[in-house]
Amino acid sequence: MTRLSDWTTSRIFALLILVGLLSVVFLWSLNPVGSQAQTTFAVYLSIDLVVFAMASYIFRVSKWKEGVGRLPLVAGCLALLVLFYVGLTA
Amino acid sequence: MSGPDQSRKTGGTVERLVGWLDSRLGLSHEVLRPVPRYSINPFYWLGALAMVAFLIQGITGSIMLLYYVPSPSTAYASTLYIFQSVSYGQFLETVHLYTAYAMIMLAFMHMMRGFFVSVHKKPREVMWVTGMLMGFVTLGFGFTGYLLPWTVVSYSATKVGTAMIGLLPGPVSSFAEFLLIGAGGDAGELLRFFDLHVVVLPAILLVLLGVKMYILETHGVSEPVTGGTPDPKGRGRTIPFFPDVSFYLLELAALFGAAMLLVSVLFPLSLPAAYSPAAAGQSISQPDWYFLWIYQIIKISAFEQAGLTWALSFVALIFVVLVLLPFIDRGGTRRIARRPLYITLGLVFMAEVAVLTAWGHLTPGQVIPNEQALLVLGGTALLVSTISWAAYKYLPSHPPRSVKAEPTSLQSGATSHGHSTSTWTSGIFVAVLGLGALSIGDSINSIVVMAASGINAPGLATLAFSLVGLTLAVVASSFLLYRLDLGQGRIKRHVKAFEVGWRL
Repeated sequence: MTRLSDWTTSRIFALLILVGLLSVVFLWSLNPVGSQAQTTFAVYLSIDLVVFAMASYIFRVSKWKEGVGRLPLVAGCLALLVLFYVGLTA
Repeated sequence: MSGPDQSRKTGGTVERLVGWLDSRLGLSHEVLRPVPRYSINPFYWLGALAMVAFLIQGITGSIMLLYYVPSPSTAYASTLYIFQSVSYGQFLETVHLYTAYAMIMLAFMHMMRGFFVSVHKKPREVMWVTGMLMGFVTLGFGFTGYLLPWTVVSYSATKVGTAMIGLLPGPVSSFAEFLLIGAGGDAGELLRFFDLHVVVLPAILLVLLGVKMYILETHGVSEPVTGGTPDPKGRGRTIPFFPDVSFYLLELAALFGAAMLLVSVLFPLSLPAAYSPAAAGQSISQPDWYFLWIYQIIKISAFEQAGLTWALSFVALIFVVLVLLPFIDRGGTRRIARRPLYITLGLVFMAEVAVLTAWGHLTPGQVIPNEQALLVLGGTALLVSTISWAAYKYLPSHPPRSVKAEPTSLQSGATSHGHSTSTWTSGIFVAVLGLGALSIGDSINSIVVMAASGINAPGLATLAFSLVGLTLAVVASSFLLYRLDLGQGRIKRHVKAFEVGWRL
């Protein structure tokens, strides 16, 4: 598996934290009544969970000095893009 | 600021936070023993994921408890109130149901994986029995929780279950009736089910979890099955539970939670009609999917009336054998290649459960003729046994030379790739076996149905579809057997010998 440099990894980590924070802020702004809000809530909460999993993966693998793999991060970023698209169009 | 400097700063902040937590809580001081590097693999943590599902159910269930009222006159109304008027109420109920399904599925996968890699063998016999008891408690959650919404479907299905209690042997039947039915009547029964679901079963599960964790801490994670003896490399590198393994588990839990949320959004729950005697008379009693395989056995015509006791005894025998497995399968080796009988029995069991469940879903309320049952269940067993026999005859009994050496890190290129390819091929092989079993069951079923009621277009379409599935399964099995054999080339040698004989 291709490994990413520390420089790239640290920027992705910072970006993930930002995306997670934005998603949390958006979650708190939702009107909780109605099925539409339930869908949006679930999608944005999923985004937060995926962001957390990716950030935790970067922290853990960096600590093991095994190098952060490109594939899990690309897969995670694609999942986030799809979820954002679903969240915005729901 | 340069790149690496910023990286150190980011890593430093998180590490400082982890260090702060550790110094206050003492998490790294051997609270849980370090685990071997090879156990950083989702298949080792299926049981932990089942407990994550239990935790999510605890959270969603606790919120629903604020509104739910367990009496026949209010149970459905309060469930409907949660659905329609409570913020995110429908979402809560949907997540609660789907995590329950996931918990049962994960527990089953955890059990079957444990069976195939022989975790039930010495010295983990008690851990296996504890795990099986936890599995029964998980099924108990499903059984008791199903009644609580008081819908026509849940009431009818539960009545079928409780009616079977009377067929159990005397003392067992009396105890089960006392436990489930109480003072009698719908009100008493609902209250008993509610108490069991929210108090008794969670308490029992937590105690059993404590026992299992204690045994796990005593013996550690089981070694991978790489030969007749435990892998000596497995004892090498270990990873501290906190923060490394804890973070890995949190990653798995987060991804599992995200998947559950998305499934709940894609397939939101709709509440069936309320129970009433009139509505119950019109509906077909059918248990939830995890009990369907048992129900399908009971529906076989040989087990009707007096034969029902035999059917229940047969199902009870399966459970007893599963619990006592460590004392039955006592062979010294844990290696899959040396356990053909047990591995084949395990595969047949999995295939039969899948076929019975799918079949039960397709034939609600229908009595199954004996010949049809014999053909479908016998055909499934025959197919799976034949493929298993072929695999044992032609697959290499030792791992190929290229994958024998255990990789020392994730970056060990070719060896790691060879091992992971073999693992994936084996996984796909098991899935293909399942497809083949379902296809043969479905094709025999459609032939029998057409023989009984005449040839028709839907029947022909089902037959054609299942035959295509069966052909695909056979072709895919042959390809996968060949692929798994590449390291040793036994199939290649057989083919060559056959070709030489043909030419002569």
